[in-house]
Amino acid sequence: MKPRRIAELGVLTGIALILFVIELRLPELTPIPGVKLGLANIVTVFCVFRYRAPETVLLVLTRIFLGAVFAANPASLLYSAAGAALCLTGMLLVKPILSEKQIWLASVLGAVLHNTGQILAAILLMQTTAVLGYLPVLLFSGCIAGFLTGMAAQLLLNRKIL
Amino acid sequence: MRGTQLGVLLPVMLLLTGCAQSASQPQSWDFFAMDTYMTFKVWPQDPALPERTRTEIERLESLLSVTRDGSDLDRINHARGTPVTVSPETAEIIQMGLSCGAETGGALNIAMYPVSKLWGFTQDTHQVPAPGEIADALEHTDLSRISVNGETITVPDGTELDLGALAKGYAGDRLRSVLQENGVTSGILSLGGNVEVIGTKLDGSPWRVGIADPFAPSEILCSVMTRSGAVVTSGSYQRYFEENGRRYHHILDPETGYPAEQGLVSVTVTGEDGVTCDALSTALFVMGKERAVAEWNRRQDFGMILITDEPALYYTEGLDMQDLPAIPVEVISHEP
Amino acid sequence: MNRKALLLGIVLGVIFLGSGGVLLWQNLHKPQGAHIEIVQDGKVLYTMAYPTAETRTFRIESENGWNEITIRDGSICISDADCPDQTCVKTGMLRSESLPIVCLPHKLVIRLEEP
Repeated sequence: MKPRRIAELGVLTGIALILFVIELRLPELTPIPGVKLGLANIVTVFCVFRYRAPETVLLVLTRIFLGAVFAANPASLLYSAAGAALCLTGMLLVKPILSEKQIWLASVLGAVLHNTGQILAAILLMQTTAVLGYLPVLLFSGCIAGFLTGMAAQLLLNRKIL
Repeated sequence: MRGTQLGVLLPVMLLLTGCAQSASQPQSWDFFAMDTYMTFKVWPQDPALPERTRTEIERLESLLSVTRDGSDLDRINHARGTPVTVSPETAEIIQMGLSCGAETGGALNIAMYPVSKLWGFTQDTHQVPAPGEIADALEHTDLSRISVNGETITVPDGTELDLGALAKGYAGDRLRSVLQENGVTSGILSLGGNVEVIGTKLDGSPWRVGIADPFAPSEILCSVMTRSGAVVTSGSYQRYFEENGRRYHHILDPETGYPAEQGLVSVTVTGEDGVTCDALSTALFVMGKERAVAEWNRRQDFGMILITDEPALYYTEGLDMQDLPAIPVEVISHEP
Repeated sequence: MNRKALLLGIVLGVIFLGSGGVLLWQNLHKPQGAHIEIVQDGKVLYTMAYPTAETRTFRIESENGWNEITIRDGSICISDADCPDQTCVKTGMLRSESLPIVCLPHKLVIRLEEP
């Protein structure tokens, strides 16, 4: 990896972490676990469309690990990892078929898959399918959050300066 | 374009807030266990909680049930005088039962199973036993012959233990711990006559626990306000049968082997832990009003509400009582 | 817009509208006001507003036996049953949220739900 690329990825990881921590500080929209804006997703979408797949995976892994450390919540690591794995796979798969005006679609898909991954992790960890009851509200809020963060990433990606 | 986007987003956000409200509501569930109907209402919500509480109850039942093959109690009762090693919890509850029995002068007796079996309260086959049968069974209810050595319990052949007076109280305490360990900060659990509360209601006010009217068990006679603790009621109306026009209830007097007839129809005990309240409510019912008041004056670490067959209601000072009934009400104060 | 992107858009649109529809349905079907629920072994058999205007008597059968339910004077009670303890019959008319009518042998609960 070129030093310039390493520096860029480092800065982006930093930005993602800052967004993540800011969101922790914001008052919760709802007490439903998992319903959130996912500001750090802006950086993930940006990376998926700007960099190569391995670089993005590296960034997301670092972000998740440090995020769990900053949030002092190691239990959340498994949930985030499960969500991120599905989310990244999905976004990387649909990347080739999307034009620059359709990037937000990848983000929505990512958000939906992220929440699905978390539910799957919860089913495995808690050994109960009761958490499926949260799926509709998570999918629905995921679509909205994914659209908003996706549009943000899309606007950034389509700016020629960056 | 912007306008339409906002037009879509606005109702969407409203709908989300609607869901948010439902999640800010307490979570409720219920099930049958330990021969009673248990209900739960807790906050914050966690879909895993119903299963966790069920598992915990299942675990306790496999230790404490007197009717389940292979439980700690079942093994003790079929040991024919040989020592039995039980779980630390079972040993602890038996020890609690024995010390409460000693403190209350035998009003609580965890070895009454041979007698209560004759009455058929555990098997739902109700009958009035012959006086001779009761006298024979009472021979086997001597608490001083039960030995607890660490986790090794020895009872004489013919003696059988029944933790019915403590098991639900203990279960309530355990469920309360399990819920709190899983982040519950506010909640109310009802295990038949045993109510346990966690913290306060969501608005910060104390929980209102209704006391059933012993003369009309589907109605609330009065309420007691409480924060984090247990409210346990033992009443003759809870389980009884009639034979030849006489009513026989399930709280047996260890002295006589017959249903306790000391003028009380309902005893409610409030306190920190459910197991103590549970044991005390049974013991005080058997002791009758005078001795119950003396015991309260001696210990002073619980609150109590007595309903007599007059009918009249007595409650100890310091309790926050609400909706007091039209029957005579008297406050019990500390003896100077 | 190419075909595959269109397909993805449609799939996501269905997920969005579908989950939104489920949520809306859940919100609309939230019962309003106090109501009576008859529940057997965790399954809600009947719900009715409380106080109810109905007057009728019917039986609920289960593998362990039957309970005769009577609805009158705005409320509900178990008027007869073939269970050995008869606690459900002795309980009387349903009056309070915290005191449900319970038939343990038949796993039957009649409870008052207040919003």
